[in-house]
Amino acid sequence: MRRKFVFFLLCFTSILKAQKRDTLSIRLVYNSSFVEVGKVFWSKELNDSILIDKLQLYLSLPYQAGNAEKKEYRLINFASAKDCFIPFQNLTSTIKIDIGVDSLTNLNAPLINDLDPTTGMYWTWQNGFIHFKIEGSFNSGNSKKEQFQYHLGGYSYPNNSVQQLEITALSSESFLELNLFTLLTYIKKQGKPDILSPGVDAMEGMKVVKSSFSLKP
Amino acid sequence: MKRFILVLLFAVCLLSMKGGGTYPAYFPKPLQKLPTNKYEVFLGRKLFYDPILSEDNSISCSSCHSPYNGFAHTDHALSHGIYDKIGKRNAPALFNLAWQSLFMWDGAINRLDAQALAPIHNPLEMGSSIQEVIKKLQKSEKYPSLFKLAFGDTAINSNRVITAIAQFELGLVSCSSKYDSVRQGKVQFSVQEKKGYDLFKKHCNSCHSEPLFTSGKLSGNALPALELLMDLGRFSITKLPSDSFCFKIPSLRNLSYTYPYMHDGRFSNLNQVLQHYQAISNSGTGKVNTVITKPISNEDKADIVAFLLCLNDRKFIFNPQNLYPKEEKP
Repeated sequence: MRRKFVFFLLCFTSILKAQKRDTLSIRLVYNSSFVEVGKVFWSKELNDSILIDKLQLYLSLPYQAGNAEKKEYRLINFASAKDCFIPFQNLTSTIKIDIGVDSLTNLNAPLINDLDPTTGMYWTWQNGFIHFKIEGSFNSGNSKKEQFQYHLGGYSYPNNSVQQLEITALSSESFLELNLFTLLTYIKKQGKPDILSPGVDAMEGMKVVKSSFSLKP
Repeated sequence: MKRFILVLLFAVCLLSMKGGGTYPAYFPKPLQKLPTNKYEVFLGRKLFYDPILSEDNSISCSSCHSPYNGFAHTDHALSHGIYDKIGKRNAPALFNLAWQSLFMWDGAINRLDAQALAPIHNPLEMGSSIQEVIKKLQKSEKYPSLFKLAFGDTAINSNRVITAIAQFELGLVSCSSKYDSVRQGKVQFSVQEKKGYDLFKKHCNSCHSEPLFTSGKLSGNALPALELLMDLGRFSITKLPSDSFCFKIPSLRNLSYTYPYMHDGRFSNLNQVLQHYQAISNSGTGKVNTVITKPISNEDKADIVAFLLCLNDRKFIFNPQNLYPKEEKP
């Protein structure tokens, strides 16, 4: 009787362990310094003080290459740092993470939870999710602020700008880092304060966003 | 046994007359499921007719999509929203939406349940937001119970609001015109209508294909752009030069109710429409994204109009199930 009980207990705990979800946190930095949304920080490379008012993006939960059918998405809002993570489960070897919501989800998924259109990440005029939204200003040390708002989206031809991260060797200590240096340099050099619809500019912008991600440590 | 087989055969014949019980067998299979939950449909109908969706509680969906006009807008060439703000297009007719994959004149929306968000948020239309709409619905006396009937509890969220509206719209099926009666062998065309039908098949069917009388695709039709509006159509969505001035091909059903015509309502009657196509076809310059190249005579025009009038579906227009819901519950 006792042996049976121990056996069942072992089975039960191993099932629990198998179902346990790990999380992959996402950290926002500018080169080696943490960035907080709503707080001004200094960039010596751009010789400017920068304020990020809003930074949100969609990341898919990690999936394996042959299993891209039913993706789930998480809305990451850097205004709430503790919520900046994506769960994953039972994954080994190479995995992919989408930056942005793919066309299948745009067309078919129920508009609920993280895909709720009330989050401010949905284009009602042309149904579709905004993959990545950043709003802020370069303060230039002068009285004039250079404001920018990049709402990068697009999921259908010819403006599909969803990007994929490919990640190997994910461990329990791993985290994703989003380094704003490249993106903010790009925005500053573009001289274009707004990108608010799908198109060539949004696609280029998303490529820069993709290059800003890296897996640490 | 013989009787059983006869009864079975009779049942099969009956079923084959109407696909799925709600549309004719010669209709293609709908791209989206027709609604089955009458409470969701009723809730959607209530919302459709309720100006609570707009910022100043003055404009409902039915303000531009009038049921007596095939759910199109006939007051003006260009539809208007709150505070009489004028838009740049004429609100299209709403019926047989379950057979469509693109919505709006430029195909900007490709899922019907998300479509309602566009006018709700458009400052020229309802000027509100789905968040505001939800707050108002939550405060209302009647809606929580209607949401409970439809969805099982009183929670009101954006998904339920837009799903309900879409369910009502999916139920707007128009398939009882004279043309449909002819297809079902119940009546025959007159001589002129038959001539018009033959001409229609020759000149118009490639874009306005039977039995829905639209291919559901986008196309240009050599309409010169109005300078004041400079509406680029599908190009504004895709930025592809080949999509310049391309608009969704509308269905030709219920034309007597859905004037004025074209995306900007510039033609107030069918004669003007056919005059336009007659001018392109007779100019010999061919087309802009169309296939109309064969000449149309004045006699042809009259015959085509006679046929087009056979596509009117008075039963759909006056269906009490689609009109303003006076009752409180389904």
